[in-house]
Amino acid sequence: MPRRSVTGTGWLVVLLIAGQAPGATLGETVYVGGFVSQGYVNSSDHNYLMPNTREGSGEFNEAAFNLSAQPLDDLRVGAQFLGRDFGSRVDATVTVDWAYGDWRWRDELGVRAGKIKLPYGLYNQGRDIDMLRTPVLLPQSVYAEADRDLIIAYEGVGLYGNIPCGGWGELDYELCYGSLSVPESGIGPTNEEVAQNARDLEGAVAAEVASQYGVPADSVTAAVAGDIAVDLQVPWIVGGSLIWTTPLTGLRIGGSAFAGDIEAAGTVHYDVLVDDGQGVPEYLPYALSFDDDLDLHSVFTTSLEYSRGPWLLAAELSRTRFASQRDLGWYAKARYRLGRRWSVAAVYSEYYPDYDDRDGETLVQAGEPAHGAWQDDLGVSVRFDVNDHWLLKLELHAMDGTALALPGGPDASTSEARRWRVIAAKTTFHF
Amino acid sequence: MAIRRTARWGLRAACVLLMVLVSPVGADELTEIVVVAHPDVPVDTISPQELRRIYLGKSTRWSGGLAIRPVMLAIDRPYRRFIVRALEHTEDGFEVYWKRMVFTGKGRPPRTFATPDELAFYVRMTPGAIGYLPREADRTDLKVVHVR
Repeated sequence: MPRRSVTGTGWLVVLLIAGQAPGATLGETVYVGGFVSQGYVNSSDHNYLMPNTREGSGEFNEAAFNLSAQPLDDLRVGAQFLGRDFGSRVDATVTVDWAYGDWRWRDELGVRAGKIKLPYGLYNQGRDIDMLRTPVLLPQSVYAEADRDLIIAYEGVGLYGNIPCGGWGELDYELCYGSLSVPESGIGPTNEEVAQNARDLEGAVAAEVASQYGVPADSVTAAVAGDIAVDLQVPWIVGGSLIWTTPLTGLRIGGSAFAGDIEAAGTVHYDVLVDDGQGVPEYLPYALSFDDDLDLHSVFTTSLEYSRGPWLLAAELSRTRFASQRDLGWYAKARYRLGRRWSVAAVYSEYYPDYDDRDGETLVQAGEPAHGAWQDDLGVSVRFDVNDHWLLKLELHAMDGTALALPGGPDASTSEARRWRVIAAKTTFHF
Repeated sequence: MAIRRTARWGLRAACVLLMVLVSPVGADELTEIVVVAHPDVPVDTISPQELRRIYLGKSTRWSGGLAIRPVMLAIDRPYRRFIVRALEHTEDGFEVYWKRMVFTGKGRPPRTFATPDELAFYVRMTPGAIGYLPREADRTDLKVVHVR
């Protein structure tokens, strides 16, 4: 697949042309905002979040530009266009990030219709907006990059509102119903996993072809050919979030829950070589199609955030029941601001892709390292705001376990290291 | 007995800590700034909680249906004093909140003015407007709203 890479500098030029002033209001009717980010990720032993991070990857940038208008006191319309380059997961395509109309009938009840950010956890709606946080990366135990395309936004209708509770604080709720669409076939979040599964099947494909042709099994080899296009669709999803702003200033407690249906379809092509040593070797095309309907039983998050003065403390827990598997992830975070320009953060997180096999016994029985059953991540970050519109970040992660590491790929040597590290850096310009 | 005594002291310590944490920042501390509104705004006093809901875009209409139009001064000291004392919010928390709202399409931050005169003029001319001024600023034809 030809790759188009737009650098952060390229995005910056686009945005500087498009935007006129920080958070500009054009004639009081149209409000514009935007940002451009350029990052770098380097990991030891295993690729992380995107392929090729072991060699270091700068294909880690985002840019967004939004417009909103409020033609009536009760009615607001707007849209945001987002471009991302995230290794080979996502080429630098520009998509509609969100676009919806918002009719606020009362403070307690409003209706949105269009493409709307999914209210998963406290931070999913702002996960692509680098300037909202000190760390470069959100905790992957709850906000896994592999799931981003599936949970970033839905197309449908939503209800929302704010309910004051007297001396008990207030409640903010969002309810949603709609469908999810992965922006582009072939870049789905399960691509790497599907590719690994396809490679694991190469031997079986070779054996099948050998059986069909009546030749010895060792005379046939099979290899995955080209990219695998995985078409992911979520025909329906329903759920919502509830956040209680408590009377204790700075303390928020919340939760979100969703259920839905996921359809994954695609075709894997193999190059099969038959060479029984008695004639001219023969290449045969071979294809395997799949079309799975996966039941997303439930996704739950529980969240807690407390901010006071320079401190911000947060913890979230996520549990997902997907098909027959249950995963669990949680994290705790502390952030401290040092004046207006500097802030530091520390995050500890744990993730178990299979809650019933947290020690990796099943993996060991399958001949794989046990540490694929978990990932503990201790990250420390520093952020420096050069001015009100430009920031720099640096981050270091110490990992134990490989549950969120990417497969090595067909040409990469596969490390079995249990402990490894990730360094990430990012700079963002925003207005 | 020792356990009971320890538990009692622990309970007292927890109560003191809770009182420190939940003690409201008194409106009396809003000595440097005055909250002002358009004369048609149907309130003379407002609670810190309601003021915070207004400036976070959660409360959008006065009783009677008039749209609330909150505005702010872009001058550092009154701006910080208002956010921290009147809204009981951290300054960076307030700014991050509005960036999140803007970049998710949920709202736009209160309009800001560079000088007290500009803000006073806007509030004076705009039904439903509410803002704040340094105590020494000219408040002619503006309603003073007490925060308590």
